[in-house]
Amino acid sequence: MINVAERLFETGARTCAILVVAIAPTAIAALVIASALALVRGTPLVDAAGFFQLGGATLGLALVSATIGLIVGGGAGLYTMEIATPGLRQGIRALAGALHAVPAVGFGIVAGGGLLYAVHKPTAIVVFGVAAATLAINIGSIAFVQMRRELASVPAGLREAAAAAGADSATIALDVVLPSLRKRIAGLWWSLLATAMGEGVALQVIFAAALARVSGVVSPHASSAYGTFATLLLEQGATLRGTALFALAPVALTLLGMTVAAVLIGRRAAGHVPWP
Amino acid sequence: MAMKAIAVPKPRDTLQQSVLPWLLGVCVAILAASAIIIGGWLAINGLTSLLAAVLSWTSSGVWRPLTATLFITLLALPIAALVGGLAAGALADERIFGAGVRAMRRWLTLLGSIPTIVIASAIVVVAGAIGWQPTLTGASLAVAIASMPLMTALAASVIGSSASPVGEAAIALGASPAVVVLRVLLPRAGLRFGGAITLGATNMIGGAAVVAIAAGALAQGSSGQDPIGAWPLAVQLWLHAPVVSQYGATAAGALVLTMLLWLVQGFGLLRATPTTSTESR
Amino acid sequence: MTEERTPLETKIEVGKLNVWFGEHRALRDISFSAATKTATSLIGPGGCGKTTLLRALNRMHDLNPDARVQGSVKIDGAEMLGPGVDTSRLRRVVGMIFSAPTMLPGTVADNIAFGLAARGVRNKQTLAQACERALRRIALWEQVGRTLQAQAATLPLDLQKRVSIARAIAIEPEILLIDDPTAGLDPVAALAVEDVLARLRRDHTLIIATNDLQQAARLADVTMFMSGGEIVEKGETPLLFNKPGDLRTEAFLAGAPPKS
Repeated sequence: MINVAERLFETGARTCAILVVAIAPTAIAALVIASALALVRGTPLVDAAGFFQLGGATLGLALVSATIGLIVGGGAGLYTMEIATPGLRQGIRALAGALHAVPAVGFGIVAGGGLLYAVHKPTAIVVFGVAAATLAINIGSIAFVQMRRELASVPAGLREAAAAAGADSATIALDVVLPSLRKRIAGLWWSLLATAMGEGVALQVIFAAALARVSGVVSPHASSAYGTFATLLLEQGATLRGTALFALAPVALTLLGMTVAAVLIGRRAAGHVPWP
Repeated sequence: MAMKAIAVPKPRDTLQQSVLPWLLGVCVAILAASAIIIGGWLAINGLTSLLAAVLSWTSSGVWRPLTATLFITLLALPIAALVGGLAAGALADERIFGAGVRAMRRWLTLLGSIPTIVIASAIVVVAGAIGWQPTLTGASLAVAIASMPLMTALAASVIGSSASPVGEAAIALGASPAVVVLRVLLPRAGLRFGGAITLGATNMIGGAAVVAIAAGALAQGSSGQDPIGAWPLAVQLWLHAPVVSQYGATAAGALVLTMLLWLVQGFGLLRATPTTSTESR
Repeated sequence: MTEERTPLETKIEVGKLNVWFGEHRALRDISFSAATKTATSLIGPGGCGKTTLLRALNRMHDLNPDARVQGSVKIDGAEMLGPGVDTSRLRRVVGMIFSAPTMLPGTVADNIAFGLAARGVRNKQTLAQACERALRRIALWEQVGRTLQAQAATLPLDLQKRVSIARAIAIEPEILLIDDPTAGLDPVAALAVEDVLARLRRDHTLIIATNDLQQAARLADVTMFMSGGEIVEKGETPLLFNKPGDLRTEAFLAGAPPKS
């Protein structure tokens, strides 16, 4: 009797694992086939110039927001865990938790609202500036949590040894703990870059708000004016139906390639692949 | 005399030692200020419309969208949690998959980094190819599938592996993989497993991209899908965001959604720290 | 090489056992046999392969994808390293007591009865009786019987050690592999654990890896000295200790560091 239940569990678990692992190859295969079909039909979502513009925006926004996000979020995490007093630590964690709870669409609504009310006819620089700042804060809240996780993995013996040698908390944080995490922080930057490239909702709201402000047109389809790969996928994915959706595939594959490349480079930079 | 020297606080030796802690403090201030500004902005713009939104039963109120959110979460979460949990169990004990398990684990951590928007695109491409009509139920299934890699990675991080001392102790007593996973590793994970599921739930509640794409939100218009007659709250907000005249209602909705997410996260079950999720919410 | 007594009944027979971890060869052509209901001790400097040898005997290396095991391990004449062997059943016949007593989640009673529960025994009374029987066999009922409902992880180390021994014998294995049984214990607690092991000698075949030479001298019928993954010398314990045949054995017993 026990053996039947155990066999059932093992079979079920094995099946689920295979299912989950198969999601990515299946998705990639579907996208590759759909891309081929879309290219044959000649119905791209954007022309070549638009494609590179979107790609540039995707990469540019991601680079800026990942860097600023890592500095702000990571720096805040370092301060909170190593230097802050316990009372201050609780307060910071509460605020960071609140920030983490805000959904992506909420970030977009606040930033987009700023554009809708504050700036009369925002230039492209202003729009992308607001987008970068919003994404940076979003990424920063993720970086805060990740940094805390990395700091927790530093062995306590390292801090104790430094303290026994007379170092204060700031010195321990900056001269002992941070250097020991150099590789992992490099890996973290790359993974934040990947996350930033995949973010579509918040940016899309900002771009739609900008379009409304600039041209008076109220429409979610802003990618003709401002966009990234992710926002384009979001807009068109929510609009197109049937086989017209195949046009999404080349854009999705490109975004996938960029994200996976960033993750793999990050794994290399971090030095090893921990499980998990 | 030597003791007196110790009692006097020593000034910092270098510029680095005095300036850098302050810079770190500035980072904290930026993050804290952002939280206050965002919360404050939503409150200022949304509070006046909050009452109207809460009292209204139409799709412009909060209740129908919240019902739709609940619908999707209650449908997608058990599926994703069950599949993800079982998959993590399979990867926890080397004996279930044998030699291939390490490669599978590495593959899985890579999987978790694929943007949900890409997986959603792939799902609708397949759906479009087979002519499947978009529905809220279909969107729930899409959310479940798109969440499976993340749920598996989260579950695996709290379950651990049978290669740990406690797993080996059980194996040395002749325990089968099922016993090791279900009677040793899972009980040891305890509440943290609940925290992993809670994190998956917050992703589903706050996630707009997958649902919007999978159910063709823009194609369908703003009244949403049967059987609820409204979109989930996150999608509703996304659809109405550019409309200036409704900004108050939109901000109110965002406030409600944020409070809901804060509630779900803050229930104390969230012990598992999140991996880098590709759709941040 | 000292003379060996011809075993009357061979319980374990190991032939040309080799273990690799990646490129590193941890065990080299290990061959020995152990008679039924005897105690064999493994002594040797750190890294010589004592624990690796123990873990090879109940196929714990199967769990390590980097490990490669070659050779033969026969128990009662049946080969155990082959592909068709049910390793869960093997591990119920060949029990293991680790050097660090990792407690499983739950109470002391849960821990001791774990092996039986894992086999499908559900009846609470049966489990409780098995628990008491295991503790009485090693004269620990008086000490541990009072703490049965305590959370096992909260016990002090010496009690955890005793619980882990009771846990291992509750499934009534025929062979017990014991890794450094008194590591980390104070002298009083160590002697108490040794007492327990001495009782086990009556009914089980023991293989004990230990860093305590006096312990080996007290407990074991046969001692094997290992170094660099090989068995340098083996023989009846008093003979090995008093008249070691190999210079390396002599140096180790005298406390000198091993020559590489």
